Amino acid sequence: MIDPKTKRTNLILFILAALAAVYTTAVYAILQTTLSPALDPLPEWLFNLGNTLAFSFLLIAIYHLYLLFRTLRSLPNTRNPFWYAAMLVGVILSGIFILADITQLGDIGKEYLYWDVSGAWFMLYGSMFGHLLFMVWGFLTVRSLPAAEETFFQQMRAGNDVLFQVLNNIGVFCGLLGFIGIAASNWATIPERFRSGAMLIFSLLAVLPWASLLAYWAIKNRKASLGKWLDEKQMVDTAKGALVSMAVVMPLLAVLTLVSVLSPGLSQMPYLLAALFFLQLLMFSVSVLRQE
Amino acid sequence: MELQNNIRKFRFENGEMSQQDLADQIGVTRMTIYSIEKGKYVPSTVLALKMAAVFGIPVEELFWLEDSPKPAKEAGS
Repeated sequence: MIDPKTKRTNLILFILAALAAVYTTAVYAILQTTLSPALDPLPEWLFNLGNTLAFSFLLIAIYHLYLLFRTLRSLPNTRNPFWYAAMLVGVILSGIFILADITQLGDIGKEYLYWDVSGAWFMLYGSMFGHLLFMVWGFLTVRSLPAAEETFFQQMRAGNDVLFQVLNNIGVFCGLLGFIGIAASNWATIPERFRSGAMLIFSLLAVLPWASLLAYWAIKNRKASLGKWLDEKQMVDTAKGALVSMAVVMPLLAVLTLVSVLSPGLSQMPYLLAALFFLQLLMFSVSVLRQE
Repeated sequence: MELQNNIRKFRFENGEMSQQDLADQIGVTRMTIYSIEKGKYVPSTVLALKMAAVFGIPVEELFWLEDSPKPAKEAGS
């Protein structure tokens, strides 16, 4: 298990971040009930209160970064790649959404004068609840992590099997998230002028955890030749995974190309290509994991 | 005809070597050793020779095809 010093650091940072999350929620409630178009000019204490949120967001972001560092450091020794992958995806996305929260607050500050922003406040409360949930999950996971046996930059060996399994588990999560999200967007009431931007941002977020871990693996193995990144069984599994995903996606792509030629006005094409990308990622990752 | 192996037996005869130790010595992952032992994966010739070299035995004592005569040591044990 992790050493007492790490346990203590984890506990302290978690308590600070959790308190920051509770404080932020309380400030949201005060701001929501106080801000109104009739309140003009805004009292100075309200500005000062809003500014304190910068510090609480910083504490929450620091703990997210700590969770990411700590779990990556213990990556080679984890016994449960699926659970580990789920947590990594959650922490990365939760961390990204901190930026979305800050942007949302700024938008509320501009828009409360003109229309009802209760929906935006609801999203902020939901997002903060999500941050707290993942911080609790991360805290409990770090407590149960195996100790890192080597320094951070000594850990990765070419073909490390845990990293390979975690990467493909994350591929399953990201593939599912992206594919279902894009498919579900057909029924979502997104104004058409925002749809392409929303789909692009969603796709980038959905692929980010997988791409981040892939980049991490590439950086760790940058000095090794490409043939050393995977051992021979992983090479074979990857080739089989590529074959399966190609066999599923290529016919679909051919059909879509034919349909787009016959129906030039098909406006869903960009989103279908994104959906196919996530489907391919999902098929590939599932196929590779099945060989393990 | 399927490939059979004695890897587990020779690991334990060589100081109770773990799958990870063997994997580190021949430059593969523990999961690859596990898959070979369980018969889920057929190693390359190079990998099979490396494994035999770790135990200091001919490769025919480590791997054989089912329905073929088993090595004398395995048959006698």
